[in-house]
Amino acid sequence: MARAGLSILLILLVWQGAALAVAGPTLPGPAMVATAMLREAASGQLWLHLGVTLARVAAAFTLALSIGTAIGIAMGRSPLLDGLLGPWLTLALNVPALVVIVLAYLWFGLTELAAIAAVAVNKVPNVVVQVRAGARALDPALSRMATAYRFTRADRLRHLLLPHLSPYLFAAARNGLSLVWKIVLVVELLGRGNGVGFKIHLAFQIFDVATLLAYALAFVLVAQVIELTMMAPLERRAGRWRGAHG
Amino acid sequence: MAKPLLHLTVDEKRFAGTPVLVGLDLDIAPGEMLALVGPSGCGKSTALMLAAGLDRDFVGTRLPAPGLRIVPHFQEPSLLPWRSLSDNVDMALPPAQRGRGQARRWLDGVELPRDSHAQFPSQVSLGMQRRAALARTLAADGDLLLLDEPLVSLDAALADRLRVLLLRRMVERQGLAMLLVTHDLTEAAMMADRILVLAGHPARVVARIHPPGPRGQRHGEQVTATIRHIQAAQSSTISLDEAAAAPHPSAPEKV
Repeated sequence: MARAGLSILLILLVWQGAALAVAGPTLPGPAMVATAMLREAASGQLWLHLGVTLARVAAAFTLALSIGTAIGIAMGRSPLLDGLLGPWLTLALNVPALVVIVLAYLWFGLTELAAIAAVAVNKVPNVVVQVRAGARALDPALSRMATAYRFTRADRLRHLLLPHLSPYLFAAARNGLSLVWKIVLVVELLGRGNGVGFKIHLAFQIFDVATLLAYALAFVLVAQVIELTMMAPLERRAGRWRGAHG
Repeated sequence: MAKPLLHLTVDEKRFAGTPVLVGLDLDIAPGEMLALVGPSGCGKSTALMLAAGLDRDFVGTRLPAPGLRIVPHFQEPSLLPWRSLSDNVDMALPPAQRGRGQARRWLDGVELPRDSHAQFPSQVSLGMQRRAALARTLAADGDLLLLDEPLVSLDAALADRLRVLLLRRMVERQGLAMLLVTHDLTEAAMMADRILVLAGHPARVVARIHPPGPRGQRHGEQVTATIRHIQAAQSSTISLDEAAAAPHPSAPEKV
């Protein structure tokens, strides 16, 4: 913890030094960014836009993770499906996020649904790749055991597949959260009237770098809080069984 | 013999083009303990997978009685690593009996101490995992248990007590039958109603033995005689195989 504090202090010093050297509006120092953040927080703007962006991230993330997991399991367990969908997966992984977003807005209008769908579509292929790798790695002996003990489909999912996939799902969720929120910002910048991306767009137009950094920093802090309070404890809980041999 | 629970005939089973099992036919009657013996790697486990219906890629026939509940018991414990020992057993119970602490009774039966019941498989020894797997097999309430070396690598005194447990279970649950795959000739000679001896490359049944006396209550001489009988069948096969460079799979010898 002491080291983390030292590291933050060091970064702040370097930042302050650079800001003093530049001595202009293009690089405000930590104090100015903090002031901008406090101002936005006091006016309620920060919470509003942060909340809207967070809701979009949550919706797109949930959608992408559920669809990606379903497709990933299917492709990992069925060589036929894997053969049919495999080439398209490679293609989908390489479609630029921006193209998907622009097309979604063109085809479905500047709507909330188009925005969230565009983000989800961008994320699904990554989830599929990770979950497919996990589904392929399922121990055949356990799979045979489930057959021998006549597990129902629900039992197989709940007691065999999902626990086995949990490390893969956590990896997908981690990458997912960081990727999804970056894409959500682009979606907001291009076609929404609120959210962190929208505010960054406004700040960019009036060269208000302090506000821009204040919003970016605020979201990074929220992402950290999510990691520490949700992801890490959940992962510890799911991994309890990896005990030492006793 | 009463109508068999399972009838299995294997004319040929190949792995990667090579025949491994070329002559096996067995019937298991309700309440019967049938042992399948042979040296390690002779195809006993393969035969068990075919009997379980988990491998259907062979030439022959498999006829289970209608509604037959077969429970295979594999050599590796195959416990779910993310579930405690008692949860692993609980999942195998008939649906109506789950979640009522019955798993504990089965784990007690295989002499697993109470404080291990809530532990994950990775926290206990392999021997304890094997015993938990045996508890799960018994808890599953099958009509026919297919046991692949269930007592291998357990200490002798414990293995003896678990043999008694298996035989007692057959008395408690009338009609319960077991197919016991083992390389331990003494175990087969003490416990089985009938013994099929597998030998040769590719493997086939070279002898069918009815040991004298009731199972589990045979005295030393009876057991020794049965073991000698098995060994004689195995050694005559080896000399035959050596004499004929290419044995004829189409004509398995009848003993």
